[in-house]
Amino acid sequence: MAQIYDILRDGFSYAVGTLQDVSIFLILLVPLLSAILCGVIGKKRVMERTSVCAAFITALSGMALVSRVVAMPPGTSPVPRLGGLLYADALSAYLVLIICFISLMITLYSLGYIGYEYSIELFGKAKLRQYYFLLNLFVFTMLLAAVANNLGVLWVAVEATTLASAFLVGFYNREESIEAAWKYLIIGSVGITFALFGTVLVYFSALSVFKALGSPGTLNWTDLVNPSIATQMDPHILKLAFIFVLIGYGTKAGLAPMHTWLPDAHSQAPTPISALLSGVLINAAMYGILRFHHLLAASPVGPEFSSNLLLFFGLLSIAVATPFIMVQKDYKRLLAYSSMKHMGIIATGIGLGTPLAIYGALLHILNHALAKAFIFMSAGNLSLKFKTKEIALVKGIAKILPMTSALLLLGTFAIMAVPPFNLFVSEFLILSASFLGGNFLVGSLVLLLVVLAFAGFIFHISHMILGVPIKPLPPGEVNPSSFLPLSILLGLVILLGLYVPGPLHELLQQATKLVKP
Amino acid sequence: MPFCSLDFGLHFDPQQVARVLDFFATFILVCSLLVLATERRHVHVRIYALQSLSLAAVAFSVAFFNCERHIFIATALIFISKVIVIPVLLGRLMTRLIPQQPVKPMINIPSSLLFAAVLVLIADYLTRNILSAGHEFELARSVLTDSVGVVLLGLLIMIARKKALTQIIGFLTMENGLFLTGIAITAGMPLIVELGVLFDVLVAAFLMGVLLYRISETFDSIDVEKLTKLKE
Amino acid sequence: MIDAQFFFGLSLFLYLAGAVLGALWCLRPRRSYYVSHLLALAAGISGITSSVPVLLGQSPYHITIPWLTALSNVAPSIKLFENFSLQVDALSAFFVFVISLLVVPVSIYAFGYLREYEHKQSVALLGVLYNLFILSMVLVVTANNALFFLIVWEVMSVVSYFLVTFDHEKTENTQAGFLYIVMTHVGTAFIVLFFLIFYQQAGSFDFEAFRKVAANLPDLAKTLLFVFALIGFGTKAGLVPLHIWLPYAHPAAPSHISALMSGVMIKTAVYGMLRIFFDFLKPDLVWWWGLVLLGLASLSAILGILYAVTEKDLKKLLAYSSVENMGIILIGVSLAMIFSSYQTSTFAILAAVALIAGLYHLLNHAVFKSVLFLGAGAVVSQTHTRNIEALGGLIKKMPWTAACFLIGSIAISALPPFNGFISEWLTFQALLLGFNVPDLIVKIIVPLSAALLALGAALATACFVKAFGVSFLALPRSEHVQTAQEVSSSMKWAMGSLAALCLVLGILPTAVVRLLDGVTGALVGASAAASMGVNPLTLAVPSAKIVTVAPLGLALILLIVIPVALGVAYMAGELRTRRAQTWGCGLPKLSPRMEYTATGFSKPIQLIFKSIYQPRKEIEIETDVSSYVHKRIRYELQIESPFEKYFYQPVSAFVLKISAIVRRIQTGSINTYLAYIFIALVILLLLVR
Repeated sequence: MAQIYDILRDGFSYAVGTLQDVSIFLILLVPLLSAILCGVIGKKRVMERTSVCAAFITALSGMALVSRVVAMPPGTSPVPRLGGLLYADALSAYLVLIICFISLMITLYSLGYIGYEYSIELFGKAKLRQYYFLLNLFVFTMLLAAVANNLGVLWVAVEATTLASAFLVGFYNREESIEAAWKYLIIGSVGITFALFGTVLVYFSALSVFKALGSPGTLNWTDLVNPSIATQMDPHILKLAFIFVLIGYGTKAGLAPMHTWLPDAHSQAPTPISALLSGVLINAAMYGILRFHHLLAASPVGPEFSSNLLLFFGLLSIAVATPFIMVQKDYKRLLAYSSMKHMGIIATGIGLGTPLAIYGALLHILNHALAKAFIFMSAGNLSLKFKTKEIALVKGIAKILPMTSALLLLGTFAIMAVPPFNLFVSEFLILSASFLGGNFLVGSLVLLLVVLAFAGFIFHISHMILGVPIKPLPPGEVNPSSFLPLSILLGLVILLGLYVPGPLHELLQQATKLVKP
Repeated sequence: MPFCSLDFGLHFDPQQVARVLDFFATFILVCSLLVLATERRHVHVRIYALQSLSLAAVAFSVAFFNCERHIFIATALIFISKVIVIPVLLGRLMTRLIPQQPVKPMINIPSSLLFAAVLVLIADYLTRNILSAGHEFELARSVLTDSVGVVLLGLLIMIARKKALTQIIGFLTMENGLFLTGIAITAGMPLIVELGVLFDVLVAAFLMGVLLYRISETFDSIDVEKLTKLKE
Repeated sequence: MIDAQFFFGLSLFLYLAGAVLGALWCLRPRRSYYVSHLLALAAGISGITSSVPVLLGQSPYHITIPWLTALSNVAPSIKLFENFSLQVDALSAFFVFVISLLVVPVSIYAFGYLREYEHKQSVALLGVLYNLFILSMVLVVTANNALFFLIVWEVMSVVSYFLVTFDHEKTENTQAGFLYIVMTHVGTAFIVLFFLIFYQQAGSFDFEAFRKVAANLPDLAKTLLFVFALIGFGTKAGLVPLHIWLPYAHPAAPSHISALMSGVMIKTAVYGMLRIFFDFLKPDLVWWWGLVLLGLASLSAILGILYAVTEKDLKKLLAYSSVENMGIILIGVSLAMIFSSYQTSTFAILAAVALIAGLYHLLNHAVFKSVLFLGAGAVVSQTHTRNIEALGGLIKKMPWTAACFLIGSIAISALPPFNGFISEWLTFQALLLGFNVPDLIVKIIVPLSAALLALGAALATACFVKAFGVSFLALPRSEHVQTAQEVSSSMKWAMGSLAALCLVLGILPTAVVRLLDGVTGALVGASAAASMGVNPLTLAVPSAKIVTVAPLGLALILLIVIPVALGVAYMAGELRTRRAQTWGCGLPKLSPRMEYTATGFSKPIQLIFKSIYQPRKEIEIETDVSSYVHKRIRYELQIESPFEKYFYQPVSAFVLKISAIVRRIQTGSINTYLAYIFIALVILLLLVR
C-alpha cells in the first residue's frame, strides 16, 4: 500500500513539476490553438466547449506558473524561455493569474450572454465564430504581454491586444459601436506608437552600454535591469523614453487625458468584452508602465521621476473621472469611468512609491479586476433584459430581476470600495501609505474624490434598482447560467475583503519588490 | 553571401553616408508636409507610398553601408508591406468608397503648415538635447530630428484632418517616422521585434481599412465629424 | 460565575446563524423570517448574559480574529497592526448590553409585525438584514482595531441603507436612503481620516497603540483628530448641522428597525466619541473641545425638538426627537470632556457625574424611543398612514398600544416617575456643576446651555402631548382609523415590557448609577457612585449644596396618593360618567374636521419661534360669485431647514456645476482626443527637458 502511495505521490509531484515547467508555453499555446480551432470549425457547441476547456486549462497552467514562481528562492529569477523572449517573475505571474482567472469567468459568462443574443438572432453564425475567435486571440495577446521578456515583444503584444479587440468593440455593427471601434483603434494605435518610440529610445541608450561591454544589443528586460547595464544608461534619454512610454501605455491604461477612447469602447462592446477590457486589458497596459518604471528606478534616474509622473497622472485620472461618474446617462459608461478612476488610484499608489503603497496598488489591480468583472456581468444581465443602456429608462429592476439587482447593488458597493468588499482593503492600504509617507494632501484628495464618486454612483444605481418599473416587463432572469461565474466572483470579492490568502500575500510581496527595487 | 559594402571591399566616408541618409530622411519629412498641404486622397496614398519607398532606401543604406545584415530583411519587408501592400489596399478601398463632398479640415492648410513648422522646431529642440548627451552615433543628429518631426507631423495630420482616410495616412506616417528612428539611431531593433512591429502595422492598417469601409457604408461618409455621437 | 466570553461568542454566532439560515431558507420566506428573528432573540439574551458580568466588574476579555492577519505586515519594515481582535471592556459591555436589551423585545415585536410585510416577497431578506445589522453594531462597539472597526462600521451603514430602502416602491424612501448613505459615507471618510492620522502617529492600527501614543501627540494632529472625530461621528449621531439625513432615514425603515436605528445605531457614534476622547485621547483633552461639543449638543437639543413640535408625520416626529435626545446625551458627554480636561481628582468626580448622566440618558432614550417607535409601528400597521392629522380616537381601538405610547411619551417628556426624568435631571445638575470650572467662557456657555435644555424639555412635553393627543384621543379624523384594531399579542408584550422598563429605570436610579459607575470609572478615573447614592432611595449630586431626588420615594408616595385621590374623587361623585354633546357654537352637528389639529396645536410655538422656522405660507382662496363668499381655502405651510437651504443645496449645486464644466472635455470628436494626447506629450517633453 505504502509503495503504491509513494508511486502515486511521486507521479503526482512529477506531473505537477512538468506542468510547472511547461506552463509558460501552455498559457500561450492553449488560447492560440483554441482561437484557431474556433476560427476553423465555427459550430456553436464546439466553439463554446473549446473556449471553456481552453480557458480552464489556461487557468490551471496559470496557477502552476504562479506556484512555480512563488516557490523560487528569493533573489533568484525563474529561467527565461525561448532564447530569453519569454520570462516570468512574480509580477508577470501575478498578471497571468488575473488574466487567466478573469478570462475563465468571462468565457463562462459569454456562453449565456452571447448565446442569448444569438438565440434572439441579434447576429448570425459568422459573427458568433468571429466572437469566439477574437475572444481567444484577445486573451492570447494579453498573456503574451504578461510573459514577454523582450520589451519590443511586450509592445507587439500590447498593440496586438488593440487589434484583437477592436472588432469586438465594434461587434454589433451599429453606428455607435463602429464609432467606438474607430476611436479605440485610432487612439489606441497612436498612443501605442509613442510607447514604441519610448522603447526605441531605451534601446538606443542601452545599445551604447552594450557596445561598450562588447555584447550584442538586446531589448530583454532581464538584461536591461542588470545593474551593470542599467546604471550606465543615459538618464536624459531614459527620462524622455519614459514620457513616451507613459503617454503610450497610459493611453491603453486609461490615464487622463489619454483616456478618451475608454468610455466609448467599454460601453459599446458586448458586455463580456467590456468586462475583459475594464478588468484586465487596462491592467496589462499598466504592467507595461511598471516594467519601465522599474527600469528607471534601477538606472541613474532613480525612482522619483517616474513616481512623480505616475502620481500626477493618477490623481488627474481620478479627478477627471469623478465628474463623469457623478453625472451620467449610460450605465455602462458609468462603469467605464469607474475603471478609469481605479486605474488612477492604482497609478497613485505606484506613484507614492513606498512598499506599502505599491503592495496596495498591486492588490488593487486584482481586486478591481474581480469587482469590475462582477459588476459588468450583473449589468450585462440587466442590459439583456431591458435592451437599453440608458439609466433614465431603467427603473425598479428589483421587481423584475431580483437576483441581478441584488448582485448589482452588492457590486456597486464593492466597486465603490465599501467594506467588507475587497477594494476597500487595497484602497485603504494606499491611503494609509499616503499618510504614513506624509503625503496628507494626496490621501485627502483621493478620499474626497472617492466620496464624491460614491455619491454619484449610488445615485444612479439606486435609481435603476429601486422604485416601481417604468414599463412593466415580465419578471424573470434571461441569463441564468451567469450566476455560476457571478457567485464565484462574489465569493472572492467578499473573501478578499476580509482575508488575503498566504500564497497571494507572498506573490504580492515579491511583486512589490519588483516594482521598486 | 556578399551583400554589404565591406563584402565588396568598399569603404565609404561616414560623412558621405550620413549625407545620403540625411537626404532620404529629409525627403520623408517633406512627404509628410506634402500630405498636410494637399487635400486629395489619391495623392495622399501616392505620397505615402513614396515616403515608404524612401524609408526602404534609408533601411537599405544602413544595411549596405554599415553592414547591418539583418536590416536587409527589414528592408525587404518594409518594401513589400509599406510600398506595395498597404498602398494597393488603400487604393482598392478608395475605389469602393462612395464619392462625396469635400470635408472641411479642422485646421486649414496654411495654419497647419505653420503648426508643422513649429513642430519641426520642437523636434529639433528635443533631439539637440539627446545628442548633446554625447553619443557616438554620427548619423543620428539630423536623422533623429527628421524622424521625431515625422512622428509629430503624423499626429498633426490626424488632428488637423477630419477624413477618416487621411487619419489612416497620418497614423501610417507616424509609423514611418518611428521606423526611421529605429533604423537610423539604433541601426534597427532586434529582428524579432522588427518583424512583430511590421506585422502589427500591417494588421492595423488592414483593420483600419475594413473599419473605414464600414464607416462609409454606415454613415454614407468618411467624415469623422459624423462620429461624435458618443460623448460625456 | 458565568462565562461571559462564551456567551458573547455565542451571541455573535447566533446572529450570524440567523443571517445565514435566513438566507438559506429564502424560498420559504415566512419560516426564514421566524427562524432569523428567533435566533436574534436568543442572541440578544445571550448578549445580555455576556455583558452583565463585565458591567459588574469582571475583567475585560478579548476574542482574536485570525482573518486579514496576512496583511499585518505588508513589507518587513511596515507594520499595519498586531492583533485583530474584539475586546469587551466595561464601555463595550455597556453598549452590548443596551443593544441586546433592545434586541429582545424588538425581535418579539417582529413576529407580529410580519403581517405588515407578508405581501412582499423579500420578507426573508428582512430577517437576514436584521441579523446582520445587529451583528455589525455589536462588532462596532467591541472592535479593537481601527481597520476592523471601519469594516464593521461601514457594514452597519450599508446594511442599514438596505433596511431604509426596504420599502423602495415609495420614492421618498429611496431618496431618504440616498441622502442617508451619502451622508454616512461622508462621515466615514472623516473617520478614515481620523484613523489615518492616528496611524501616522502611532504606526499601527491597533487601539492599544493609539492609547500608547496619545500622550505625546503634536498640537496640530490633536486638533485635526478632534475635528475629524467630531464630524465623522457627529454625522452618525445626528448632531446639528449634520443631522439632515436622520429625519428622513429613520421613518423610512420598517418600524422595528427604526426603533433599533434610533435606539442604538446612532448611539454607536456616542460609543465612538467616548472611545476616542476618554480612552485614546484622555491625556490630550483640551477644554475647548468639550465646549464646542457642548455648543453643538445644546443646539441639537433645542433645534431637534423645535422641528419635532411642528412635524405631522408621526415617525418623523420621533426621528427629530432623537436629534434632541442625542443632543442631551452629548451634553453629558461634553461636560465630562470639559471636566476631564482639567485633569484633577475633584474635576474627575464631576466628570464621572456628567458621564453617568449622559450614559443614563443614552440607556433611557434607547428604551423609551423604542417604545414610541414600536407604538408608531403598531399604529402605522393598522392605519397605513403616518400622518397625525389623519389619525385620532385610537385609544378606543388600540388601548394597549395607546397605554404604552402614553408611558413612552411621559418618559420622553422627562416627567416623573419614568426614566426620562432622572437622566434629564442628572444632566441638568451636571450642567450646573459647570460653574465650578475656572474658565470664564465655560461659565457663560453653561447657563445658556442649561436654559436651552430646560426649554427643550418643556417643548418636548408640548410635542408629545400633541403626538399622543392628536393620534389617540378625540374622534377618528379619517377612514384610515376605521378598520384599526389592537395589534397581535407579541407586539403588545414587546411594547409592554419596554414600557415597564421605563418605569423600572425611573424608580431605581441608584442601582442603575452603580452599574454605570463601573463604565465611567474606567473612562474618567474616578468613582461617583459612592457620593451619588445617599441611600437606596435617594440620588444626590456631589456639589457644594447637596441636591437630591428620591424617585422611589416619590413613586411610593404616588402609590399612596393616587388611590387616595381616586377614592376621594369617587366619594365626591366626580368619577361618574356623564355623556353629553360637545358644545358646537350652535352648529347642529360636529364633524371630525372641526377637531383641534396638530398644526393648530403647534401654531403658537411656531409663531414664537418664527425667526428660526422661517415658515413659507401659501394661502389659496377660491372665491365664488362675490369675493366675500369663499368656496374653498387651501392653506399650506412649509418649513425649510436652513441647513439644507443655505449649506447642503449650494454645495451640491456647486459640485454639479463644476462637473458639468469638466464633462465638456469629452467632446466626442476624435480630433480633439488626439489633440489631448498631443498636448500632454508636448508639455511633458518641454517640461522635462
